[in-house]
Amino acid sequence: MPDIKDSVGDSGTNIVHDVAMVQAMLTVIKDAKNNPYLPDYDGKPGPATTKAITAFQTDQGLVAKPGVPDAGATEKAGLVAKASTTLAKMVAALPADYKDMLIIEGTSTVYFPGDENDSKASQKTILGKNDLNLEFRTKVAKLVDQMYTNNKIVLWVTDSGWKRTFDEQQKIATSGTGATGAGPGESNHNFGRAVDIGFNKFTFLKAGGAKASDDWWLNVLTKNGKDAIGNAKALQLWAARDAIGVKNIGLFNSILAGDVDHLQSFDDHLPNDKALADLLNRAGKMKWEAEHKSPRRYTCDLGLGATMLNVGKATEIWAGKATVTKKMIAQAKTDALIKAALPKGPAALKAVVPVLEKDIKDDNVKQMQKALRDDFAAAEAKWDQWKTVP
Amino acid sequence: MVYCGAVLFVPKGFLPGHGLGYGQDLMYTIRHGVSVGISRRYWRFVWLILLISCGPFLCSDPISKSDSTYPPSTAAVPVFTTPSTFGPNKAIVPSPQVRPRVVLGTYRVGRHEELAYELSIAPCDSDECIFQIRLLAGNAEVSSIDMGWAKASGKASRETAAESSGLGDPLDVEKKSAWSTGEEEANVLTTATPVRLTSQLNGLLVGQRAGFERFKRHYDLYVAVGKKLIRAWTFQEGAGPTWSTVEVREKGGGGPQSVLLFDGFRYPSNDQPDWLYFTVYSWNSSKNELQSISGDPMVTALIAGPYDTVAEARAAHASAGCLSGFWVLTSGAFLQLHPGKFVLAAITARTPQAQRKLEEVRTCAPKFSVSLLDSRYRQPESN
Repeated sequence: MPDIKDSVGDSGTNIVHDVAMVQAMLTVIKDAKNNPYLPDYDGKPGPATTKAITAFQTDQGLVAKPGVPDAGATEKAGLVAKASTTLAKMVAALPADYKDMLIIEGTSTVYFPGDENDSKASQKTILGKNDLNLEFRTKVAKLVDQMYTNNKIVLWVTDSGWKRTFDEQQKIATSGTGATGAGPGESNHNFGRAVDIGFNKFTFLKAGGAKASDDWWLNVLTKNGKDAIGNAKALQLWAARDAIGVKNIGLFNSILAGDVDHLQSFDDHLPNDKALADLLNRAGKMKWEAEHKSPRRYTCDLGLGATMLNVGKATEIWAGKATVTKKMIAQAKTDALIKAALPKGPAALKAVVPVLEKDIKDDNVKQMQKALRDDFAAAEAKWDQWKTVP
Repeated sequence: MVYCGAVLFVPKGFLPGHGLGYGQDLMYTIRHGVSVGISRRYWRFVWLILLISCGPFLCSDPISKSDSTYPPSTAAVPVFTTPSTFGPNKAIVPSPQVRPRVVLGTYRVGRHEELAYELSIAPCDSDECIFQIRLLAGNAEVSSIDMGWAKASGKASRETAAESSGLGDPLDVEKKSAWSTGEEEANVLTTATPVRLTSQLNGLLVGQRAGFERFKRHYDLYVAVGKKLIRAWTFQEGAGPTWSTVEVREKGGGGPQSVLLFDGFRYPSNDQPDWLYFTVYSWNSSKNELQSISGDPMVTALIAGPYDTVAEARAAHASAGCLSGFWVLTSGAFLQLHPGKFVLAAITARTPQAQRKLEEVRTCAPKFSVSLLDSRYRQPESN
């Protein structure tokens, strides 16, 4: 049942969620001419709100009409106090399917409770995802549970918000849509420690007292009332999610402004490319390092234990088109021979016969590109061993 | 309060004007609130003796000597102290080095010759520095606004941005030059473009794209109203798979320019078409606002389809890589098309761009029947 925590209107406390709730009720309740008392609500007190409260009170006989002697009115004109008769009359005047309107403290969007069964289904789906890290998915399911318990809002992981395979990441990264800069193994979503989690069947009250059903990302609310206002309202709801998920449960959100649906198990300041190189070193056969600068490129010893060579971007390596040339392989092999000969003394070093570019065949290049990709595949197979690197 | 003094020698090459070619002046903001403006004209003669107010146990080095963006060739920043300040048991507490302001560009306001917009990274002693717009009269700051949306790492380099940088026509594949700061999720690309709002007044449109795992974009238009700088318009992408770009369009005859915003959302499922808003803004001098022009704007569109379902349209979209700039839209978005179906569409305000893209698509995806359409465009909520 709609309620307020403090007074709203003329000389009221006017906390944003209380103001929004009173305004929202006045957009739904109609006067004798079947017009709403207010056209819209924004959580900001002002003369229009006070005037609408007074009009409602006057119509209900709670305050004296202008110019008419007071006939025992008990309410203060233009003010809705907590547990007041005005508030009770407002709630009573709401249509039956609006009597369950809710609002979260500090926000200005009035909404309707989601289905508890949907929340339970969401938790079950998350907990059943074996390709999400166990500790992480447990925390995400706990967030869904607490969001419903506290706010009656259902959270749901978006279709594209689960763990992504390297193939799926490659497809997104090379789609040309400008969606991501992360190639295979570079996304927080590749190792079961990140989800995009939004709002499921979120229904809110929009201008004119109508109900609006939104998508996972609150696009309808965001666009409602044009960008600045809609965005601000939506961001309040994402913040309410993070008040539970980030502050209470210990999940981390994206450091990227606007990337509000994203949650993960680790601090987003930590470098992904270095973490990928670390996993490649543990899961694969070669030695890897991340350059950690734009554009993302990786160096590798080509499995020869000597010189580290730049083999290109993750998308290139996964496509089997790593930067590998005959010259690079020849150099790496020669360096490996020198490295092996060094401890044995000058004679051994002198006996080293350099590998020449002409000694390397086209097939050798292809095999090396495949071997590099195989290391990436090995890293993907051991996704649960991924860990953050400072 | 105890005072200590600092002698600064400012060498050739230290000023932004020499390092990057964009600076008009340099403001050294020194810890404890002392600012010194140094005109570029006078740099050859600059020997500054500064008195810096210090806390009893603190005297900080005001200028970073290790800033790789502007490496001073012969930086000499001797700091001398009053001996009595630091007794044998009083340690000097090292303070973080403050990097000087990094000027990314200056742009004429137009109406007043002496006024200019300056886009810069404010002096900063951390890895999260503020992008700032300043209104300068000559070398003096008369007004400033902190941008706030994204933070800079302090170092900036020039980078050629891909088309997802967020500035330019949706079909314009020409690479844009942008300032780049930070790495991975902290990477921010920044572009600035003057917009002719009236015959005598330019605004400064600043676009930023941040992120790595996912990109988000943000735009502000800054305008000098008298000698006060205002943020006259702002747009930022919301949650999810969003995309946007902003273009400045000539109306012809050297008159005021329009700002075009393309703002889209690619639904990752087969049960809903994409959203793509196209809004034209023009300057309202009486309100000092950038206002959207009502009515359905004209676009030039490349259209493939129609398809009966979103799923069919998405399958077609996925089958050809060179259709990546296309969106799955309701056919009702275009006034000339019959509603109730779905199309693959790419829209632009520039007919030559559309024709160029059409030729490209005909070559790379010959099985698609793509046609060019000049049409009124209806925004998502109304089609």
